[in-house]
Amino acid sequence: MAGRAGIVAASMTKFEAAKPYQHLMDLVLEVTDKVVEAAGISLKDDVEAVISCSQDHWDGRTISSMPIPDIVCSHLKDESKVAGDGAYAALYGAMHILSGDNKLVLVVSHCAESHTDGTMIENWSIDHIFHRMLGLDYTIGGAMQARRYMDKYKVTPEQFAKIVVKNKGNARKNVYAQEAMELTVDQVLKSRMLADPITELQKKPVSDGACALIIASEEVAKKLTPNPVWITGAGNCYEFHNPGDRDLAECDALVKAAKKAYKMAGIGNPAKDIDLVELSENYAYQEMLWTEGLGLCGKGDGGKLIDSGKTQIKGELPVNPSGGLLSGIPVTVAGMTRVAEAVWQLQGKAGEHQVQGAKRAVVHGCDGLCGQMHCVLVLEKGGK
Amino acid sequence: MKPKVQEELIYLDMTLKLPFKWRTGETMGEFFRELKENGILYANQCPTCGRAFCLPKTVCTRDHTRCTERSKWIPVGPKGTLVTFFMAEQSFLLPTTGEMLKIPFAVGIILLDGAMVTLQHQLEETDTEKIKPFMRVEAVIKPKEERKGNIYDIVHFKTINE
Repeated sequence: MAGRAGIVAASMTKFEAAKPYQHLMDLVLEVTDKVVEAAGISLKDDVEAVISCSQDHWDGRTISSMPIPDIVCSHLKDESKVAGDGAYAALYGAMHILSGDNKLVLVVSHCAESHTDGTMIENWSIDHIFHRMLGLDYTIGGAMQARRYMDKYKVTPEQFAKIVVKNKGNARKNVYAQEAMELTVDQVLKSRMLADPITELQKKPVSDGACALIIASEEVAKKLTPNPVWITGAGNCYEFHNPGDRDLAECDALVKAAKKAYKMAGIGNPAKDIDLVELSENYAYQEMLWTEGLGLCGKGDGGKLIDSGKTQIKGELPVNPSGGLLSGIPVTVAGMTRVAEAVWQLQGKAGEHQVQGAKRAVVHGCDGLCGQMHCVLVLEKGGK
Repeated sequence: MKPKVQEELIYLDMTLKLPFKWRTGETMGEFFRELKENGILYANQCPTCGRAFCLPKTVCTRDHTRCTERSKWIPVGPKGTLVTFFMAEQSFLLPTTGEMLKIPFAVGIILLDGAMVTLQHQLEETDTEKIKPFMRVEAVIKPKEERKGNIYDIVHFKTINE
């Protein structure tokens, strides 16, 4: 491999329930201009390749990356798209660098969930021969998973609600967050029931926005910034698609992805060796389950972990100090914002939700029904 | 030996239909507003290279300069020159309208007078013999009460003798 891949700069839009004055490409333009300025580079002359991240159904056009070159000056350059979660796009960007193929890449994701009906798109991701006509979407799938998790490990809806209180509370300090709220467990549980046990406040709200990263080779990254953030570990793994083929109370793919990333980064004890975690919880129960998958606590101990207070912003191991996905971030963009948040934390630029002294962060992106696919990245500052 | 005819198995009928409400953004939104309210086609200009875009662009594709400065917009057309064209002779179901494409159907790449990039739109003429490159055409704009703020506020481009 050609040295290390370093993230030089990150940018995002403010996330909002709708952005009535912006075309999809205006979102891409906003974050691209911001990240290029932050990195102090020329979009035209320095960016060698562009990796975009979007999905055809959400954009309402096949090959949703087609308008991107016009907006980010990547015509006549290397351009490709990740049609999945944004964490995968960051990983793909790092691979461009580590292969030695490119020295500097732009990674950008966008989605405006307000333009269409996400429930219908989720339904279209379900097996079309047997299960689609049942009317499944991710929330119903999530409810099945949450219920199985409750049955097997005796976690409770009150513990799920604590995740919401924490994350939407953390969002109050994040200028980019959409839904910053001061809530009680009771308010979360009494919000509108969507699919038992998932209430409205336990689900990520509809959101519009974009995110971008500049990733460079070790040599270029060091020239551009005194504090590049290195990608020191990566792992990605898929579950079976059919929820009936897995035990939904487990997240074996995440366990495997995390182990791979930790091995690469030399992390022996994730609960101790990590300073903060930004993970992708589309529903409150998922943060609990994913903390188990990431090895931050034992199997079935996700409830105890939130009860302990360790994952609070001032706790030993802050999880989603940014407010997480529950504060409102669109699909595809989601995992990339986890990376961007961790980059700012490690560069000391997170603002009011800065975790003091953070040196090593773990970020997680996921996509699919009941968290089918997981991507784990370890990000670090300093080192050789 | 005759090959065995395979029996048709059961198939499932399903239609995928998804509603959208696409935001047009400030640039395209302003272009459509002018077309709808005043029946005027505008090109926006790149402050760096001076190119005038109709259809409008938020950012110059060559210079990556924002072209949103409204005072730099210039009215263009409605007359223009045909660069090239295609003629559709085969119909298909248009997913945006649910109707079959009416054939023959001609689309031209047109450079409007005053603009420096082309647009594509329907031609009134459908006789291939009568469509010539570099012939002059003019946009036929719908009456105000029928305009909706989309590209079909221009009915089509008619051939003119100039």
